[in-house]
This record gives sequence, structure tokens and C-alpha cells, in this order.
Amino acid sequence: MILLEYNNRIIFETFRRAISSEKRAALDVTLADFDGVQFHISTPNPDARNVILYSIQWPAVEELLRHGAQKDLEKIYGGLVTDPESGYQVSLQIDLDNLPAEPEKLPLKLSFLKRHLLAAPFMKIFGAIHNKQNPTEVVVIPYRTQTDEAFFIKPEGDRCIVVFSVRFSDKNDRVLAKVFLQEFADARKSMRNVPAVQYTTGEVPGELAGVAGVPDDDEVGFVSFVLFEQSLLPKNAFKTINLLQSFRNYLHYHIKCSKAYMHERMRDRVHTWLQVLNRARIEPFEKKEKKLASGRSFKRR
Amino acid sequence: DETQVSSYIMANTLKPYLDAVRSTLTAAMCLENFASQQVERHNKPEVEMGCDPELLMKPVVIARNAQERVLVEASVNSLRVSIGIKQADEIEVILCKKFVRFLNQRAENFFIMRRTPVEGYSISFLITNAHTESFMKHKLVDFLIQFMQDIDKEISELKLRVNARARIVAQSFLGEFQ
Repeated sequence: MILLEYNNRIIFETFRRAISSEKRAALDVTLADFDGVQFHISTPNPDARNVILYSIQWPAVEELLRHGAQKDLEKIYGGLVTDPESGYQVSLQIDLDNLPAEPEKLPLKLSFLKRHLLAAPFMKIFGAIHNKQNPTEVVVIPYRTQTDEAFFIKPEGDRCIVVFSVRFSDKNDRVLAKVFLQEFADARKSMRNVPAVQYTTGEVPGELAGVAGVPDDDEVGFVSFVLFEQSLLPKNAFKTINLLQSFRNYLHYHIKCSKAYMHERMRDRVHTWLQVLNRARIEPFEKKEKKLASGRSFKRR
Repeated sequence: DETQVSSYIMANTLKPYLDAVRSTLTAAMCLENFASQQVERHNKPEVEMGCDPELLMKPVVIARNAQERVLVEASVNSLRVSIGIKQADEIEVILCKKFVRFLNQRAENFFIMRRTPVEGYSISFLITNAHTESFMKHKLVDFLIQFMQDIDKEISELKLRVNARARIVAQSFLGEFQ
């Protein structure tokens, strides 16, 4: 499995089971997703277990709602939007006895909630570029407040530049990440019709000159994706946004896989060396049984 | 072609380098039990103590180049071998660091491995008279020579694998845009 899934499987399964089962079970599921997101699926009223409350908590939501997520929510989830649960920013209410049209598609749609929220500013800017409105505003979305990572969407004529700030506190991780991101940048030499990728460290990239809130320290690097017209077309926008929103998780996942593989190889190599060393022994290492003067015998461990 | 010639030279220096290390180690591995002169009834590896000059041999460095070298410090009852591992670029530096850390945590299993390297080297071994009594000396030397070759090979292989993986990861991701 090289590419990660774009939706949340736990949410998908929870709703699929709830919708397809005859019984109305009481629910109270709290789960976490990437980027510090927390979900809560519950049946708040024990007497009305057909009503499920589905909420998301994410510091980035406020910024996203400002950039068009509110409208997108209403467009995609329609009548399901309800007042946010206390402690959460967005809530949807699903009545199992009163499901909207095409209920079999609902679990998948619901499991995409985080993605749809994150997609809003992209959709807004892609749409504006496609309609030749010449937008100029640079949109900053701090999607990961706990590690101070954000992405910056900068429209430029008929293209769009999306810059990710990537932070690695461990120096070794930074070197590994550089190898991976350098390959992203070099991929264009052998692939056609793909976004141009550039990786910079140590200084703010040219595209973000003058933008507020751009981190500047040693631990942070910047990955810029230049998306050409092809990727911004309405028919491709869904896929483009899927890929962009999962980029950081994809990168970290594969760096971890790499480390696991290295560990496995090192363990194998150590095993081989220990075998060689064992052959150097004069006497085989055995538990010897010794006898005492009193006649008792014991095993030396 | 310059790169061909330099790699020919490098390949050419490997055998003499390892042969020199082998003969130095074989000569230095003449260890016998020696009670400590400093503390009564104690028995310590004199190369680690470094107190009594009459018990210590002159240290020898066998260097293939500035980075790849072996320091052999011998004494009457113990021998310390420190190896400098080749680290050509940033990624090899961190791979070497990771590998050495992995090994140092398992030093006990290796008996002759030191938990920390001597200053200026990547990894160190300490062989005492107790080891030469339970291990065959020529096989210990064989082990060290094989270790030196294997670790270089392993780091190169790991680097190749990381690069290959990075390429596949990048192309899989970007390919989805097409």
C-alpha cells in the first residue's frame, strides 16, 4: 500500500454499521485523526437512539470556515448541519429514521468530513483561477498547530502554487526527508504533466516573501507545488485536493517505513555477525554441570 | 576517465589496507593475564587504564585515507581497536550514526565491543586476555576484518535502498496528478 486512503475508515465503518443494522444501538465513539483532529460520534439522547450527533474538533476549522468551508458544508451535507456540540466546532445530525436520498452513499460522504473542510479554500481559489477572476490573496491555513506547520495557497495567473511548511525536530529525520523531497523535485525530469515541486531549507522561499506568519527557524523546510491549469480544472480538482491534503501524512508514513526497513536490515546483519563470532569460540557455550565436594551437583547458568 | 581511475585506485587500496590491519592485529593480539599494579587483587585492562607506560605499546594508525582508518592500541593484557567508517555524504553520516547506535546498545552480545567509540573514531572494540582465552585469535581477527568490510557494504546498500524507495514514493504520488 503506497498511497494512503483519503477518508477516515473508522467513521465510515461506524456509520455503515449504524445505517445498515436493524437495532438502534447507543453510540459514544471518540476518535482521533491526523493533524490533531478529534471526532465524536454519539447518540446524545438515550430515548431517541435514531438521532446520531457527529462532531469534529480541529483548531484549523475556524480559519477554514472563513475561507468558504461554511458554504461547502451546507452544499455537501445540506440539512444535516446543526449547531456545534459543546467543545467541538462543527456538528452534523443524522436521523436514522429520516435519512436523506441515497443513504448507501452517506457513510462515505460522512467519512470525508475533514477532507471537505480542508478542501474549501482550495476549491475557492481553483474556481477563481478557472473563471479568470485573477485572485491575488495568499491564503494561510495552519492545519497543524501542535507542530506549527501550515500550507500557503498562492494563486499566480493561471497556475496555483501551494507551499507546505514541513518541520522535523530531529536532525536525522531532516536528512532523510531531504532525500525523499529531493526525489519529488527531480521526478519532473522523467514525468510529464505533473506539478513542479521544489524543496528549500533554511530560508523563506521566494513565493512567500512578504507573507505574515511564515516560520523561519532551522527545523523547518518548504515544499512548493506549482499546479498547472490541468490540475485545477473542475474535473480534476477533487483528485488534486485529495492528494494535497494527504501529502504530509504520506511523507511521514513513508519515512517511518524506511526507518522500519533499516532497523530490520540492521538486526539481520547483527545476527550474521554474532554467528561469525560464535564460530570463533574455542569451546561451545554450554551449560556445564559441576560437582561439589559434598557430592551435590548444580548447573551453572 | 577520472572517476574510473579513482575507483580503480580505491579498489586497489582496499586489499593492502585490510592486509595491513590484519597483520597489525595479529601481532598486537599477544595478551596475557596481568594483575593490576595500582590496586591490589584487581585485574583491569591496562589499555583502558593508561597509567603505567611500561605496560602500553605505541599506538598504531593504519589509514586508507583521512576518514577510513584504524587505531590499534595494545598493552600487556588488552587491545583496543578503533575503526573510522567511511561517510561520504550527509545521508551516509546519519546511516552510520544509526547503525553504530544500534550496535552499541547490543555491545554486550558482542563481548569484544566497546559501548562508546574512542574520540575521533566511529566504533571501538576492546579485546582482553580473557577473550583470547575463550576465542581463537585468528578467528577474532577474521571477525574484525569482515566487520570492516560488511559495515561499509551495509551502509552503501541502505543508502541505495532509501534512494530507491524515495524515487518510488515520489513517482507514485506525482503520478496520480497525471
